[in-house]
Amino acid sequence: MNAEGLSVVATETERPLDSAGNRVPSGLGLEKPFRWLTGSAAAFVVAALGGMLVVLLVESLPALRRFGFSFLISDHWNPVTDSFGAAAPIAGTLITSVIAMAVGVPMAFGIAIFLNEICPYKLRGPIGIAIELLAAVPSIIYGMWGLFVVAPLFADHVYPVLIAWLGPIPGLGLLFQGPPYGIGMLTAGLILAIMVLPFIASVSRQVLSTVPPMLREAAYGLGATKWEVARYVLVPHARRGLLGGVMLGLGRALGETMAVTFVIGNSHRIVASLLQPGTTISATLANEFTEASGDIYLSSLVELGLILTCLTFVVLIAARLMLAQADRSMAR
Amino acid sequence: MTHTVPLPKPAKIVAKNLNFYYGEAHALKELNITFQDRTVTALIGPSGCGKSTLLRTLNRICDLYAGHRATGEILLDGENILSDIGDVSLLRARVGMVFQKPTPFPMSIFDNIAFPLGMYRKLTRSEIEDEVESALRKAALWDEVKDKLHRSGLSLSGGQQQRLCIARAVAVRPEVILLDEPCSALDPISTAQIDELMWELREDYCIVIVTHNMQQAARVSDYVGFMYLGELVEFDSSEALFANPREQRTRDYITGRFG
Amino acid sequence: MSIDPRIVNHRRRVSRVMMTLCVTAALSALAILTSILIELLARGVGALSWAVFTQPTPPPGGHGGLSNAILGTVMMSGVAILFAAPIGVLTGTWLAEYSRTSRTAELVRFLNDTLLSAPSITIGLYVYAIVVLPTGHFSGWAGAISLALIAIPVIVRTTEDMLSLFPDHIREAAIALGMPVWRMIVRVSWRACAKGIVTGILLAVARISGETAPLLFTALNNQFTQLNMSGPMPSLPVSIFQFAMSPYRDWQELAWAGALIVSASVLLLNVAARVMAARGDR
Repeated sequence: MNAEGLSVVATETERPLDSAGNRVPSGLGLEKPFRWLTGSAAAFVVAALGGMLVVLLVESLPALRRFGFSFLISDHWNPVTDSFGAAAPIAGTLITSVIAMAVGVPMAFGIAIFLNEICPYKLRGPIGIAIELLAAVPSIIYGMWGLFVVAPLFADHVYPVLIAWLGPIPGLGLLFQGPPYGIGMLTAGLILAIMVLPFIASVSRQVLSTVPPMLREAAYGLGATKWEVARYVLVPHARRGLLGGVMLGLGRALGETMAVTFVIGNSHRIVASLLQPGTTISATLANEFTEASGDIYLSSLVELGLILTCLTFVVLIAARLMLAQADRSMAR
Repeated sequence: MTHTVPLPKPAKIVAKNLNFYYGEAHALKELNITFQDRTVTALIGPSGCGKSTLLRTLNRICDLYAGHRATGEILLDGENILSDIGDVSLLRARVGMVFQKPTPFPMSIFDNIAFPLGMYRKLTRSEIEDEVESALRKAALWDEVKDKLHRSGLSLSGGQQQRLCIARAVAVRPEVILLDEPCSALDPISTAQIDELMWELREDYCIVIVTHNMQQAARVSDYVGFMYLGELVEFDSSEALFANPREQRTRDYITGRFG
Repeated sequence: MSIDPRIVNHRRRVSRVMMTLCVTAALSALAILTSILIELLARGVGALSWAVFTQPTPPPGGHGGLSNAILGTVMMSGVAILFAAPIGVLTGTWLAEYSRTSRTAELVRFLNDTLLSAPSITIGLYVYAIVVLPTGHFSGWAGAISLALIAIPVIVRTTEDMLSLFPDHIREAAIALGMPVWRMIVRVSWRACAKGIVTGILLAVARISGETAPLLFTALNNQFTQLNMSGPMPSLPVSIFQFAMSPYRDWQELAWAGALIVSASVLLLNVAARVMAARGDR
């Protein structure tokens, strides 16, 4: 590849000479336009993102004026009376994301540790690729798989058991009440967990593989077990990068639409039970936006989008900062 | 080839017909060598001669990598550690190791030493504190860190970090300490401190050190093995080997003609 | 003080349990991947037929295929990549060749990374506001623009990564021969990194061809074959969504056929990109 580059350089010496015998550097006139061209492409990227926040803000102004702060805490969502409150979708977004993280993060770390410490060398490549392919599967496929495979399975075999066993427990039981539909917050959270799993696993794996081999050897050299090496040396050493990966996954979970929309049930009521239908910001948008009539309804939906954008941006920015810091501490 | 050199102290580790392979590459060839107890033995030789490889077979840290394989025998107090010995961590508790670069764990200075302590013995809090202090004293680090035991191990200077790693190795109460070019990342003053430390530690341990630095080998070691291309070319007391090498290749190396 | 075998055994057991859990996590992930693939094949292959590729989407209860949706996806993704590839490659070039560590570059890189993981549905909202509202109707153009906004950051990222792996001394050699910088970039840097850049573009195509959310309120959907991109346009993912959520068996089968087509294309594109990247390494 580099040799190819060099050969290009070599042919460049065959340019004509000027009267004084110097080579004429051809195409100097294009120097500025080309630089300008690349710069304006970069400016476009900046404008695209900056514009996004501005446009969403402007479009949600009617709803902001009308409902103000109560938009965030009210769970009335009634298109007939034009009164909207976002508490239910916000709560749903947060709850499903928490479930996704609670299940997905330990599994992702487990996979990363498996690939770095236990897996036979010959299998590391193929399994790593399989997990990255899992990340490439479009989210709508996860949604369909959730709706047609997971939801019936849960309705028949998992939810009834949860309701029977955990339902009667005081306090905790409130989370496991109601008829076993098979769709709802728990199913959506679990599908989300499966979706974010490959992202977090592949970042974690990369981060763990940057731990200096000598540090691993030093820990094994003292007679530490695989678990001790992972728990006390590898993970603490790579903690910033790992946290960055987790935040990246959280960003995905908060904003994911299709995987959730299929299995959440789209209900604007806030109920304690995780087994009942709910909604998230993205599912509300996917389900209602094209059917929304009236400026306030549309504007309220856009405000939901704005809230989601701000939420994910905060998380993503935190993730990037942590990953950047991790890079810097690795470089030292 | 083996030279019969008188070995006054009891043998701690005896390698017999040791071969080592990195996949296809034959890194150690029919090696025979004896490391005595309470003695510093230095291994010298040009890069790639197999001296680090030999060191890494002695506590089987080479097991961590696929395709690395040793044949022959390594007898530690007469027991062949290359045979199936069950839990290698018990071997590693007896044979400690210090690496080319300091490897403090991402935890406090105190925990860096308390962590391995808790791996083998049930100790009370005050026993742990005593053990940490005694390990740090043995590594001549106590006076420098006694007021900041709860700071990160990474906050220390390079030389201090390396002494922390020696203290950590000592804390497990090993019988053998392997040092793989422990001073290659250190300045001369830190190197001198480590040399002095080794001289003191030889009272209690069997020490094997791999080094590129001929002066260091001459300063700290009782015995020296010169290795070349996976073979032990010459083994002798360090005065004899440096003053009067028997082999041409050894002479060329220690006079700086190659390597 | 000798070694306490109980402690050593306990630690060994703890480690074995935790490592078993790690293996279980990995096996579960593989089992899920397998389950998804099996469902896709089992339900999708049965539903595949010539009609899927030749007939347009059916009215409720009727028979039909997905030809218009496939065409719509190909057209919108194609137009999106025609927008996104030049902008993405040029921005990546600006980052890697001109500005590198400047503050502006840090900002662009940061915003690009944020855009890279922005929720795709909000990108749909954004394009709705800037294209659909002013023009007054849903359109294939709007769909293509939102797909382009998703593709750009992927291409910027891979282009910059690839160019920054290219050694500086070769750049300097070219400049030292009197080559203008722009020509050095086009004829040396780009040429050397061509495979990597194309890999990035392939990955971007894979990413957008399965996207549903940003199309829901930009391109909307259309039951008919639509070659004019100024009107609402069907796409494979949106049709899958519509059919999968419907109560009709025929429609659900079509959704599975569509899901199989989308997944197979996306996975093939990913494998192609990987093979290409691996070749580039050599």
